[in-house]
Amino acid sequence: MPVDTDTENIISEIKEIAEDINRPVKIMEVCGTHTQTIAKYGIKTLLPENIQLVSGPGCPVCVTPQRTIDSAVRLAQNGIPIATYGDMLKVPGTEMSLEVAKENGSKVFIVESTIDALKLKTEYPNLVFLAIGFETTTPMTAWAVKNGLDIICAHKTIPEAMNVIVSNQDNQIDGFLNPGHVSAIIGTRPYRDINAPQVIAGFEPEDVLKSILMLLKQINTDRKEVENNYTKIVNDDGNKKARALTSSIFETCDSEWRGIGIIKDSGLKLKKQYQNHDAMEKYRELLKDLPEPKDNKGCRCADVIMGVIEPKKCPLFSKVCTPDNPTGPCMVGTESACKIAYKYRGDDNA
Amino acid sequence: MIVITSLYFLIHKKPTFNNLLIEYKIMCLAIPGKVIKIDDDNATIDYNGITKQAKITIISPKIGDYVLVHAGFAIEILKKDRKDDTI
Ligand code: SF4
Repeated sequence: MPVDTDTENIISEIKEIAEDINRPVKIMEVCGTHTQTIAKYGIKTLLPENIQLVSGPGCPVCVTPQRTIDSAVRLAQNGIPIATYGDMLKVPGTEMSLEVAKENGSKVFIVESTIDALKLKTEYPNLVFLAIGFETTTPMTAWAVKNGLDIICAHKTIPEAMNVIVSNQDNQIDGFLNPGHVSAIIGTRPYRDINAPQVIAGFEPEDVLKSILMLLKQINTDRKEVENNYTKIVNDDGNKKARALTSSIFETCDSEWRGIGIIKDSGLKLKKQYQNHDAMEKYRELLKDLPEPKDNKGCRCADVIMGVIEPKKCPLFSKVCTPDNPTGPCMVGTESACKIAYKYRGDDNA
Repeated sequence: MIVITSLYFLIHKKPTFNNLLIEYKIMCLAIPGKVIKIDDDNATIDYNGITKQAKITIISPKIGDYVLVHAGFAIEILKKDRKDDTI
């Protein structure tokens, strides 16, 4: 059986160009699913020493602020059933996670989709869906709100976060692997104002390697373009129907990203005519006097998702902080950098 | 090193379908399947012999198209008819 020669060729071309560039290059994979591919297939071990890959903010679990989790916990403790995607349960809030609330008797449900959440609502009419995720996941929430689901809205948008990262002096990112499925919805245009080389990448190891090569070619020739290396899914316009659905229900707002702070225009809130589905408004009284969010002591999640450090550089990594007992949110989600690094820690790849 | 990794690629390249179904529970993953039935905005999607429902609210596929499904919704039609092409 022939060894994948295409891949070998890409790797040797990467080596040549990296040598030509002749300085350290830092590439950020914005999306947690790319982080998984990179760790699972040992892509870092294939790259020349001067090419570094760092994770980015594209892990919805990691960037959801404590206050949002605390709100969901508070509602659950007051008898309001909460449904959310599985990864959210373990994320530490200020006092507890939703998982602990569930263990203590609150009604907390894991759902695979907003379709399932709506089904649950027939049984639990006051059910609230904790809605997280980026542009790929927002249309599903919009559809469910249209069909009567109440939500805590923690949806965020990716390009605005990338802009903040580009302007951050501490990390100096040379180029981005842009998220494939977010791009399927938003297309290529929203990235054009971001002042950095970018390649929209698919999720197979070859796609990632090829996209790294395309980025290095841009860097080597001083180009800052948005290239699309996931054309079987992504086109320039994205999915207009999905965006129309989202914007019929939501409007842009400033949004807090855990560890990063407020990013202008990076979040979504319900439009006026749908505010009766906003659980934060509906249960305003219950949500008074939430615990003051406090940093998880020593957790460097913020630096991890900003590409400043790799998970292993966090002093708590695998010593204090593990997937069974996570100190911070980056150790929780399937797309969270610290959890992925933990899973593949023996391979020296992550 | 390259040879070892290449072998790794060969062994692990395509996730098994069971793995995909397990990972399907994970919110941000999207997996490809074939549209075999359409009923209003619901489609029956065939993932290599296992069928599941998905909403086709945000795309308009035809029967026989391969679509990428994320969190219960088909989000895009795959341009080439290559079901095992991408996740
Ligand atoms: S290893 Fe744990 S404590 Fe350290 S940054 Fe990651 S999540 Fe935070």
